Amino acid sequence: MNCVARSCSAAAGVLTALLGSLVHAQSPTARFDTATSRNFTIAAIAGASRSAVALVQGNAANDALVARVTRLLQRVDRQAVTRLPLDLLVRASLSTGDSRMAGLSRVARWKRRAEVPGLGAGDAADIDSLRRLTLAELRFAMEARVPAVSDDSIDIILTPYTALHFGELTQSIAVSLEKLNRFERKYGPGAPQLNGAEVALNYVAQWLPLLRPNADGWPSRWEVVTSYVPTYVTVRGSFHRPAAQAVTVGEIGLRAYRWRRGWGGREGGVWRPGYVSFGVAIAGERDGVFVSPLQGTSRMGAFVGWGETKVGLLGGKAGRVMVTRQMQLIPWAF
Amino acid sequence: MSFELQSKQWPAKRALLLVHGIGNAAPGDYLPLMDQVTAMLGAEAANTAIYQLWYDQVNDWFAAKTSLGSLLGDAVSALSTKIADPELGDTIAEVLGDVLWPVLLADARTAVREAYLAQVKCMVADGIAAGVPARRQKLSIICHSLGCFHTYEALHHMSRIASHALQPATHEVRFDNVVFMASPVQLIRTVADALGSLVPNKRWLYTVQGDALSIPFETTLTGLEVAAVRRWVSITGDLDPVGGHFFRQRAPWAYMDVLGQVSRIDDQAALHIDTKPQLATLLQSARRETLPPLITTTNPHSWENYVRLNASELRGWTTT
Repeated sequence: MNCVARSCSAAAGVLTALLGSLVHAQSPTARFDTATSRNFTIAAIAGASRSAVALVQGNAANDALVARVTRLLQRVDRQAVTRLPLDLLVRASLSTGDSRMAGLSRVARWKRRAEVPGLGAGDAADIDSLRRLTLAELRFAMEARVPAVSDDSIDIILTPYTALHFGELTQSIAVSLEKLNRFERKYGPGAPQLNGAEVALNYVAQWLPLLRPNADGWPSRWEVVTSYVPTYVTVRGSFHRPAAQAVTVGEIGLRAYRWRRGWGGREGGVWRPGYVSFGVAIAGERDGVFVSPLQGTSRMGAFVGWGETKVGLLGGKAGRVMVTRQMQLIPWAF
Repeated sequence: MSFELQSKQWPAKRALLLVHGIGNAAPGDYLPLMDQVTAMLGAEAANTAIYQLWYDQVNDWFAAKTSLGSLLGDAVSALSTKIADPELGDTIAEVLGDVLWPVLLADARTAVREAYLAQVKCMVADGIAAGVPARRQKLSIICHSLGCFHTYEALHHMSRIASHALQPATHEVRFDNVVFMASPVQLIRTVADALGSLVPNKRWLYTVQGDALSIPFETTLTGLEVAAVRRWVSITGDLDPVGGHFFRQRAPWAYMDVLGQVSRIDDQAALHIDTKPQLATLLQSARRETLPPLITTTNPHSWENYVRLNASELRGWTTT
């Protein structure tokens, strides 16, 4: 009981302080002060929820809601948590790695343990629930209150949550642009062209989880490659009289795009290409241009590509080390 | 060239996003449409931040690298049999084929959806930066043709996935109006069903999910359903096949009819298209070999015409 009374008293204090300090900053025509919002701590959102509770408690229809939010506030309201910057919640999505885009809510529900640095087990889930209840049910209760709470007052009380939202949007935009950047690397003007067989194979590959966009909308770094390459070159003859010889090779394998900054395009150049490839190489029994890979007793081997440069190795008695450059001689064909 | 978002200074609490359909749109195009929209808004145009979503750049990435001709052929033939009209069937099926291709490429769908969500995030963030928290923002979308499909997908995705910070309850992002003009969403759903297992990654294709098309919502922790859209409007013309009408006949399998939507069917008699062969010729003439179709104001699919004919109601919806 004492605890509830103390909470109410604190809520009233926080409400007064918030109204006093923010009325001026958040008038309807004022621009949102992003610099100030970066200084908010988790204490600010706890305070906002507490203020909202103070406004709607006393109405029996809100009892269950008030009790639920109060329990959450009691758990969250610890110095170790409330002193943490709000920005920590925004950056929570980064804590699950480069290829994921799990926001706080997902981190909180998916792994309750300390994925968010500084928050203990369950804290992230509590904060997420606090936020959801405050911005939906508590806000609806404030709007339905008699006498009514004005829109401006609600906005002022919820300013820390607006700051959190703004931070999340800013970060989420950056993540979206990075995803689009990766799609552009894979499909944009500088990406390697697919031939007809590759288009068909990659269409089928969309059913394989590794080869399709993941649940968070990131493109797969993998792409199926298959090609008929009549432009491999090997060196034959003696050490003193070497001679270049063309070899025709059929390839099937995978291309892996590199997403790291500084790789690919003009910036990466030859040494840091935007993609690598590898797979199986197969050639006919004899060397030459436009020789079927199935001619005679085929020679098997492997190829590795570093950007547009590819090295192939054929095994067997007539083994070869070969090089070529990625190109499409006839668009959509090979 | 990297994808660029539109960021604007909000003059008041209102913002409008225009999402174009099939066509080769780039910044600077669609000027006549902008004129129509500005005229429609009247004095409120000065109080509205108008955004436009340009995603043809993303489409072009996929068009340049992949060829879906044969797969689209399957989709088109599935449509031809469904339309069952000897005079119009083939022509309409070809026209509709232009709006089906994203269904077949999971990467293309995902990339356009991401571009869409990024633009919406930018719009909402602009509003907050101008002192209008999401709960006070008066947001509207007007989309056309294939843009309706991307809108449907984006709205459902943003309602479901919290990390985009666009959920209607948790993030308080709710659209006052979403106006679908000549929406092919039901048609895409029907054809995707007909194509069956040929459609990849259906788990993330909202158009085919559930027992019917729906208005997206978020369920709060206490079980309240908060809809992402307050007013969901469908406007199409009685001669526009993309909107599910085959020469003044509504085709239930192609017409988007979402529970709770406001429906408007424009009478397109003023276009003076009196016979089926006339309509077929007009639709064919808009198609171009290697370029997106050229939709003029004589075409029943024209976006400008939809805005002009419904200006009064649009103004009422988007400015109140």
